[in-house]
Amino acid sequence: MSDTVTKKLMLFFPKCECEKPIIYHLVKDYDLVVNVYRAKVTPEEEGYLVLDVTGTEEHINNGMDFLQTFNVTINTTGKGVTRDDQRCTHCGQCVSHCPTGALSIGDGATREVVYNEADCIECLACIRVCPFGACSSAF
Amino acid sequence: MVNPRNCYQNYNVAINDSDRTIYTYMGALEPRRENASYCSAGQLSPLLNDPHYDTIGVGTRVWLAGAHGHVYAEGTQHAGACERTADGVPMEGAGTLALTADMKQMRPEFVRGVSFRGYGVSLAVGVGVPIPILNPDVLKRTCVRDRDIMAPVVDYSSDYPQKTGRVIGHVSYEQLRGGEIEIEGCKVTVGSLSSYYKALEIANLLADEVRRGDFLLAEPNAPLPKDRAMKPLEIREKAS
Repeated sequence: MSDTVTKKLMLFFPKCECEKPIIYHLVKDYDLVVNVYRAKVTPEEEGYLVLDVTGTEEHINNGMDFLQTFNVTINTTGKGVTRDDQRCTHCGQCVSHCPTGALSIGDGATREVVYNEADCIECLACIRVCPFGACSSAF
Repeated sequence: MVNPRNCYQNYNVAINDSDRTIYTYMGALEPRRENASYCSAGQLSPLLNDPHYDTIGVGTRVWLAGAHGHVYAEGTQHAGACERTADGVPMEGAGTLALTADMKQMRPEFVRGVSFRGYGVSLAVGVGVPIPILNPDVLKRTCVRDRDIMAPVVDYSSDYPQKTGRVIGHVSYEQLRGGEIEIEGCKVTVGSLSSYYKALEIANLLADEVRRGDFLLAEPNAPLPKDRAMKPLEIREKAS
């Protein structure tokens, strides 16, 4: 069996695609392991979804091709939670609230707060606690 | 800009002993001591480098968010008469400074509006205070390290609002910066509110301005009070 890879995706479903079981097909037909971090359907019935997909490169590519047959916007950089570097003062308040250590003190000498997006599970704790409003969500 | 209280010389480490989250000016404090919050730049905080106010007084020139201003008085709640270590470093909130400078000369990066969910708004400003090394004692005191500065751990669910004065214990800024402190045998994750990163940046910016001759020092024309104790507001009658 070839090596599996994991890819983080952020998907946007317009109203017309919201009721289709797209993720089911990724699992059933493309043999992908999905790990959903966060999903939201807005009052306008648009949907947002941030997830990891794990599988062989070939299966992932086929799954992506399948996704593209729908009117779904695929963001492969998967940034559901972003930090504004201009707003961040590196105070470190978020660090004690971040459950996965995605936000951490990088350099012990300068006390710079680094954001490792790959470790973020999108719990949104940082958005609630940042006094400077540096963290925000795409949806 | 006129700031009646800046540069708190040491301060509390806030925790929450109750069973529900409380929203304070020290940030969100989770129940049962799940997290702690502190707010001093420790070894880079101006008044912790001049614990007896030997060089910092009324009239001292300061770097306030990039503008050149001065200390116009001791700050509100200034209380130099406090518990100190053998080296004279305050072990609780002590001195404060009242500062002023021209806002038009400030850099937006160092004047920042802040919002604490469930509490309210505040303003975060960057401050640098030059300390002239006049003698070996002044030099020695500016060499203070985080491990030499102790902060009191205080329960913000009952002891702080009820002004009981109870301190659960003391921790050093070295421990606080490690991201985890031990309180009565339990490990508690800790976050900061003051930015050490920005404090270091300001120290370097101010040092450069002094070296270039752009920032001139001034001798204080009056000392800060040394023996004043905290005088809290006593509420004598409940509002009806």
